[in-house]
Amino acid sequence: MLQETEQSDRLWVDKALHGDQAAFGELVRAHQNAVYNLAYRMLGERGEAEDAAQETFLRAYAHLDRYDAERPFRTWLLSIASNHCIDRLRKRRLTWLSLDEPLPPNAALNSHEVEPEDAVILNERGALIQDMLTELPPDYRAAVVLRYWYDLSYLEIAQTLDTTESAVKSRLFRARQALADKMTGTRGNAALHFAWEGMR
Amino acid sequence: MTIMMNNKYSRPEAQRDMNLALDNELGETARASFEEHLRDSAQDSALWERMQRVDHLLHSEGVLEAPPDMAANIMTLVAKVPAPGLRRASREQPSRTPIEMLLTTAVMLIIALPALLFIHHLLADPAALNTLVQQIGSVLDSGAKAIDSALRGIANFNWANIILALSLVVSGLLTVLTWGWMVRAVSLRRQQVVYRIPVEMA
Repeated sequence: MLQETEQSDRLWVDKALHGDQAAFGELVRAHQNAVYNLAYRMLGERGEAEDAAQETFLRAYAHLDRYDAERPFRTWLLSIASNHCIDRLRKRRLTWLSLDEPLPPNAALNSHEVEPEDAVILNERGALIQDMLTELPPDYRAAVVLRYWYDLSYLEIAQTLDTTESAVKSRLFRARQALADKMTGTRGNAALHFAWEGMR
Repeated sequence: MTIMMNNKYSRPEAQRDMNLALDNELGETARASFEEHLRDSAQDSALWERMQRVDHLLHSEGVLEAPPDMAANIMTLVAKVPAPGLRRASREQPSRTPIEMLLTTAVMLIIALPALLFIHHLLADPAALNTLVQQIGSVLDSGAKAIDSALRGIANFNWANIILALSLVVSGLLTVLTWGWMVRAVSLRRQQVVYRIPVEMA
């Protein structure tokens, strides 16, 4: 199934490279959920996630001739998306610093409050997971998202984030430990415990 | 300390194995000694319990669906961007440079060859060389006389000479400007495609 998807991706890429925009449209439709989900998990805000996803596809289209057909198209797309989101998070942080305002606790890069629209769509557990993710540094967050939502191997995560396998292992462990420590904290602990019990 | 010595496990090793165990990357033997270590270490056992919770929690969350109009919005934006194939073709232009260079060399040879033959003929015939030197001297003399005459004309407020000198200067400037504009136009045309591509690389 995965190989079939990769084959059709390559076919569409080839057509898009020959000027067929409809073929690129097929690629967008096939991967829009994956890219949007990654952007949302990274940025924590729906509007910004949509912007980032659009930017990802535009960049992919602009650089389609640099795509290495030996790699899965989805991994290449996720690489563009995750690097773009990391850049956005760093710029966001720089903007805050330049305003000379104190950073929120734990250097969180986003508000902990869930937008009303999000609250309707996301369930409580989903919101809590997002809340926990926003407390991780961008590089750690990217490793966690790629591991849990896309089931990428250490090597694939390393290639996607342009780093080493050992760095990925280290980031994953530190991220998991940070999240585990947060679970023992007071904020949201009861709800997380409820979520954990609900899964059992 | 005793526990660590019994199990031959250090804390960083235990943490590394926790990570590998969560990702199903831990072999059976390593898994057995890791579990043995957990039975002995209450601290790591508690951490392992918490990390498993995190792992289950993260695995439980599915992929979000993109907004329904996102694909259409993307395609509207994509329609404004030149097709990647066209840009690739324009970037492939430098590969034609060797052909251009060959043509230039051929043209240069066509011009240079008669010139070389002419020089060779002059060097072989001293009389012809002498004539050429005399002709060059004559041209230079004529030039000097012309400049002298122009200066005298200027000194005598000869408007005809001044207008002639000015027209020469203006035509020279126009020639230089025309060439400059042509070179710039060609260079911009080549760079135009490159500037349209977003500079940032994914």
